[in-house]
Amino acid sequence: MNEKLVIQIQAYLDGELSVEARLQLLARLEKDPEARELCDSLKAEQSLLKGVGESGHELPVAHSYFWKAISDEIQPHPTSSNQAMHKQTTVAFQRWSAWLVPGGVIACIALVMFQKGVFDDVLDGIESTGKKAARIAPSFHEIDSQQQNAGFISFRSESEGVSVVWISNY
Amino acid sequence: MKASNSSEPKCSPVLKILGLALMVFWFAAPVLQAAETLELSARLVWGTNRDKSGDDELKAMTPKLKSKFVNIFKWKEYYEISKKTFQFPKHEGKQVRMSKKCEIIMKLLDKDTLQVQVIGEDQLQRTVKHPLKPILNDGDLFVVGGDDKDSYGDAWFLVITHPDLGKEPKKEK
Repeated sequence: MNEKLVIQIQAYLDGELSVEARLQLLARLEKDPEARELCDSLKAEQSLLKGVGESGHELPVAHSYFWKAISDEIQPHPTSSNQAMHKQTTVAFQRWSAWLVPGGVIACIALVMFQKGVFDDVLDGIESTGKKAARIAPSFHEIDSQQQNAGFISFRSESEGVSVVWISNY
Repeated sequence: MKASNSSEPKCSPVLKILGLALMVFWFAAPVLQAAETLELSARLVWGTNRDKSGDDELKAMTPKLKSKFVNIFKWKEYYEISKKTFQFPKHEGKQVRMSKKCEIIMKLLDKDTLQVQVIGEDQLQRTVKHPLKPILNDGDLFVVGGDDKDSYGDAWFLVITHPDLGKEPKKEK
């Protein structure tokens, strides 16, 4: 018996042959007693193996799988009221942020301008407007003399807005 | 699978532009400040009780300034010997000759302190410091004066003002 015939018999028992090949093999088995004997013995072994069966084997399961199931149970399920509340908070935050962001930028610019002294002239202008008579007198001038025999008098006329340094030579 | 990283800071384009503008302003402000110029006016005035004596170069003081001087000083007449209006960068000084004998050096010591050095006959006579803001913002007059050595009883005045101060109003037709 050749190897090809054995393979064909095995394929027949496993149900892998086509209809035509199966018919050809059955015709051959009727004529060839040796091949029929092999086929019968293999069929008997197959039936025996089917009766034995395989024992079940479980794969190890990771702990994270159980933890995920627990955490899913613990966490509150989103309800409609919770969703509405969350939406309201988000909308309120967006509304505030629409004002806060430009306000923060303006505050930063104002801080920079204040540091650079840009506001000083503006503030002085506001102070002096319409209050010339009541404004604070400027800090008095400092005088350095290079001559030994020289003196000076300094005074200010608030009504005329005139500061005077009078140099006198002795 | 692509992992999403939610911890990355997100910045909107508007914020980026504003931040950039802020940085530009921050660095440009000192440069712009340094480039600012200061404009002042200086007058050399002669005060006397005598009448104007044929000297055509002498120009009478404007009525507005004269009224201030008359209220403060004892002299009746005030004549402008010279008037100079000048500009100078705030971080630099300016030397101006007012007459043959008188010269001044003006300098801004800080943001609001004007230093005036009075030079008479090529000698430094006085260094005077005065706040700048009253001159520029309030129209104040800063006057350095003294007795006239050459003419007994008379006086000289150096008047530092805002350039627009003391201008005569245009006569209406």
